[in-house]
Amino acid sequence: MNRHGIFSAGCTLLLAFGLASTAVAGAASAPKIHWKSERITLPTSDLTFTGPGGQVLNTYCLMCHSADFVNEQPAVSLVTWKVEVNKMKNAFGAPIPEDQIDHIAEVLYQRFGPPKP
Amino acid sequence: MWEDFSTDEVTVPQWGRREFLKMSALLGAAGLFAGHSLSARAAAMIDLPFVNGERKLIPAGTFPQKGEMILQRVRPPLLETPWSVFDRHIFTPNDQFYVRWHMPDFPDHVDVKSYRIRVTGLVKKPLEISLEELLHDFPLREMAAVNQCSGNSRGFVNPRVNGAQWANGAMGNAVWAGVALRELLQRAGVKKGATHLAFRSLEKGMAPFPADTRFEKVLDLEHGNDGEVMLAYAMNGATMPLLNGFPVRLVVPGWYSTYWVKMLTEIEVMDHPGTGFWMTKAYLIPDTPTGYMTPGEKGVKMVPINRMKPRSFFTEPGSGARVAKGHPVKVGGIAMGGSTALERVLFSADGGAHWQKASLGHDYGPYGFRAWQASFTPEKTGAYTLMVKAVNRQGEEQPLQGGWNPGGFMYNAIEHLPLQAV
Ligand code: HEC
Repeated sequence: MNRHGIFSAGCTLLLAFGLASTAVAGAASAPKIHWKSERITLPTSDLTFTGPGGQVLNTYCLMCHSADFVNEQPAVSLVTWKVEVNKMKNAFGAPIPEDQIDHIAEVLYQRFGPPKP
Repeated sequence: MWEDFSTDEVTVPQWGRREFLKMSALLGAAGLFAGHSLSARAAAMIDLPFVNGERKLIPAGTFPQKGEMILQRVRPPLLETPWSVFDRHIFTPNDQFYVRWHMPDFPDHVDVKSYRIRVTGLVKKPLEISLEELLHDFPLREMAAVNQCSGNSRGFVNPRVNGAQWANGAMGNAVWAGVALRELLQRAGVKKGATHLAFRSLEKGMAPFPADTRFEKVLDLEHGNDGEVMLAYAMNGATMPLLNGFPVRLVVPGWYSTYWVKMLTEIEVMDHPGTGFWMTKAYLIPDTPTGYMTPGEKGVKMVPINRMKPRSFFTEPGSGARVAKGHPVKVGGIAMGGSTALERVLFSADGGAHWQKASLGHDYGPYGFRAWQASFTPEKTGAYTLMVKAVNRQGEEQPLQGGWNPGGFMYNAIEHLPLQAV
């Protein structure tokens, strides 16, 4: 528990990289930058959808974002889910067959339930 | 990641199982070979204060160059800054600065030797600037500024809307160092008739994404030329993590982060507004004085999101803390004016019936966080509701109730902090 954190930590940090004497005074000198190429390796997700309708979501909803993202969504209306699935297809190019859209929206609606007041 | 993936394979009109598996092998599961699977790792859980708000608190190093973060999405990464970070730092450490990417094919590497920033379009002399030139051939500009996601706090929006369900940690404050965009435009020489600036990045946008979803943001020329909009090559005195936009990121002080283009590579001077997906279909707000509307309202004119609203937050004491009756309690936190400087912060210990002026910490400039502090003495035992409200230089203040729009953008309701006096 840091009761005085903000005022003191802020000031310490500030002095550490010299804003007080540069930006504020207007006489700036470049931070020491040494350019170095970067390559990162990202963690991956092997999370899949389970339960009713999991199969269809695994087929159409894992390509562009991990399943955690869909699972974290709030409960919204069936109409809103339909708009979302259509957006994935029309705006983002998701290869979802036209005749699957209503079904997927229904699966999502059943999963999350009706919107909570 | 997608390099050896030919377009033909992606445009298969209706994907069979085989194509899908191939796609997941290249996209999602690519990392089964390249990286490590996150679900295999143990992580503490954290409960964000809204329905379905349980998230993993991932340890430092789970994502490259990042510290402990709240995991909102593995791929493409959405990482939220844990709230305790704001209690300890007025400038958010780079390794705990929130992360937000839209597309799974965003670049995972940057070659600093070949990296160029191009100024093209309606200019007398097109420019191609290397990183060394950016560093040494232009005057240094430094600025403290809050970078906040348009959808920060979306989890609190009522009725709820789809999108990243952030709590309050999709924001961060940093000292940005770099070059004012005006310097580049002056050197290139803007031609008559120019009205807008388009900003593009290393993000190319590959199939199956339609061409118009390649990331591009557009500002009015006048805005981009105001001497404040800048190209930052450093945050808090160091180069930025790749996930935060290494090597150069646009800084648009006072505006939502959607304009702060990461890995900036091109500035096109144009004579028309943006026509791409990210300006005409996404990040839109109602064209009303507040940027809010009534849920379900039809025929509302929408415009690109723009200026930030004032906000203020508690960092101490913690929510639900027990304090001693008859003893002064020190409360404090951080505040920002949004698109203009913070004017004052008001604090209430009685659910908004009375407000007192909080004292403000050091002023690092109009666009950064300022610390605030106040004190009150609970005279009775029982429940208290503390509130804090920021007012900016334009007299704009936070509303008691959060406003609504279909994107769940620009939430800035007054924060409530429950306390128990014993
Ligand atoms: C072709 C790629 C693609 C596919 C396939 C896809 N999405 Fe998306 N989805 C996106 C993109 C891009 C976004 C925006 C990402 C961001 O903002 O970070 C998004 C965002 C979302 C959002 C957040 C709200 C919004 O509109 O931004 C939800 C919910 C969502 N997708 C659900 C789904 C579901 C359910 C499926 C399966 C039916 C699916 N997606 C399939 C690309 C896709």
